[in-house]
Amino acid sequence: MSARGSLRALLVVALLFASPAHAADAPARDAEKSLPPAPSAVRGPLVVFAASSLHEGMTALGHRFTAATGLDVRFNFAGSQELRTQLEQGAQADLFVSADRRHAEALEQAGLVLAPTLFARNRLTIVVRRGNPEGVQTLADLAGLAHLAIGAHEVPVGAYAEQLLALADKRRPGLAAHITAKISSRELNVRQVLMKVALGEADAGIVYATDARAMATRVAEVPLPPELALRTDDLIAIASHAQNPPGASAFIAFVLSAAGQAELSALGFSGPELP
Amino acid sequence: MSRLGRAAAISAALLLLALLSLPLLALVTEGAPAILLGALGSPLVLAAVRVSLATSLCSLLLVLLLGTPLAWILAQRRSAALGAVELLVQLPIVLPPSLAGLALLFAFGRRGLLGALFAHAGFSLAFSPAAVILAQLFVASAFYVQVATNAFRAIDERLLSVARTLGCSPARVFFSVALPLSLRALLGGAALAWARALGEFGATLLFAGNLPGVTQTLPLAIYTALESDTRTAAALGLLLLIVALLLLLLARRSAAGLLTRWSSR
Repeated sequence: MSARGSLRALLVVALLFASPAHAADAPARDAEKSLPPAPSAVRGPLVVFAASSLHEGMTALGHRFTAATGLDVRFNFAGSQELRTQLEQGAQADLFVSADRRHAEALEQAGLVLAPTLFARNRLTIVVRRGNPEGVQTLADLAGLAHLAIGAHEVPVGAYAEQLLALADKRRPGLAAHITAKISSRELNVRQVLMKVALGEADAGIVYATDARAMATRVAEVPLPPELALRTDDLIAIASHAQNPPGASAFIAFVLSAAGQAELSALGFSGPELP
Repeated sequence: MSRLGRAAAISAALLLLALLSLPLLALVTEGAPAILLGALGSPLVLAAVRVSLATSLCSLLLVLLLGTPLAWILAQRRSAALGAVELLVQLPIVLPPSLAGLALLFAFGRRGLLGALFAHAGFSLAFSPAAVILAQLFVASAFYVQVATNAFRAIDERLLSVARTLGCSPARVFFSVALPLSLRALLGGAALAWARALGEFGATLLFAGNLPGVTQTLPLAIYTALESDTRTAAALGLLLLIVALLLLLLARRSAAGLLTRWSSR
């Protein structure tokens, strides 16, 4: 297949995946429009820098995408802030998948990615050691534990956890300070928080609901009440220096399509249209 | 052909030199202005310096206290069992740090092999400076033990025999003869081990966690700062580079001292 042929095939795939039922498709098309015209489509693999919390989700989407298009997808998983630093230092990627708006928008302002698009939402939750030996029932119970692991302030899940504590503190003044006193480690990505709890080093951690589900055999989830279960944003954006812009657009269209959204929903993500 | 060969060898050497020196040079050009602009004055940096100094000095002390007897025993005689011990001591040098951290968790973590025992005794290493020290001890001791073993082996056996025939106890032979003769080399080994302990990152992050003022050492602070503030990271990096360079110079001077002493004999 010629380069132009493969480009056309990708665009066809992109249109096939872009189901009109999804209002959220519009930003993706805007993103396509704002792309510079590709001089020649490169057939090389798509390189996706994705947040740790999207590990299972993006891997599953990548397999489906490869099966549909024949285009190889390679992932670099790390904390969103670490991926952002890598992109700022000139790392080559086609797509950036961030677990919060802060890092996606900072890269957009720096001109390194184009039009970040909300594609999924997650929610914050508490994980405890398997079997919940300390009997944690509520957020306030965290103040009675020995070791709590959360994300560092720089990491999306850490910043969300700080928001959560601030929110809880408004309802019950002093709670945030009590819980913060029990923080034993500020990890550099959400999976390290999860690992510390799974290995039993930490008694509890604050992670995303999808992480709790991904490691359900090794940790127990203590869901937060709806008023505290902070909704979080997952965004995807094409890198300004993408090697394969048509492929990247097609991937975004697939992620936003009904098939892509079903894949994410099976892992516990919510659709972007939810408030 | 030989001229061509020499040109190829020189080019290869220069290429490697460039690969090694450019990143360090870049660290200097990035880090020096950051230091001058006061990037090292933040409380987080000072806390990391304090944690790094305290933990690495503790682990160095443990390396000296526990490593010197081991090196002395290894140097005294050779056997298959002692050869295996030497291999075991050296293994952490080539282990990936993340693996070291995981192994430490499996052994000393709350759910590790000794975790229940520790809990019974009423203490826990989890997320404590003691865990940082243990991680540093694990990765750094080999550097000292190896140098110390070689230094003890290099002592002229006749000197030790003479001391023994003059009625010195084994302890006196060690403290009055072997130790003074090897002191410079031991100092060099200690400098290497200290540098390695100061630079420890992966095992610490996995095993001890990352909390400013408690377990966040300089390398962890660099990694955490990198994600919001490359300037501070570069400044910290340059600081560590200078310390590492000084320690390496100290180690090399000691090693050179040992060599000249033996060649002049």
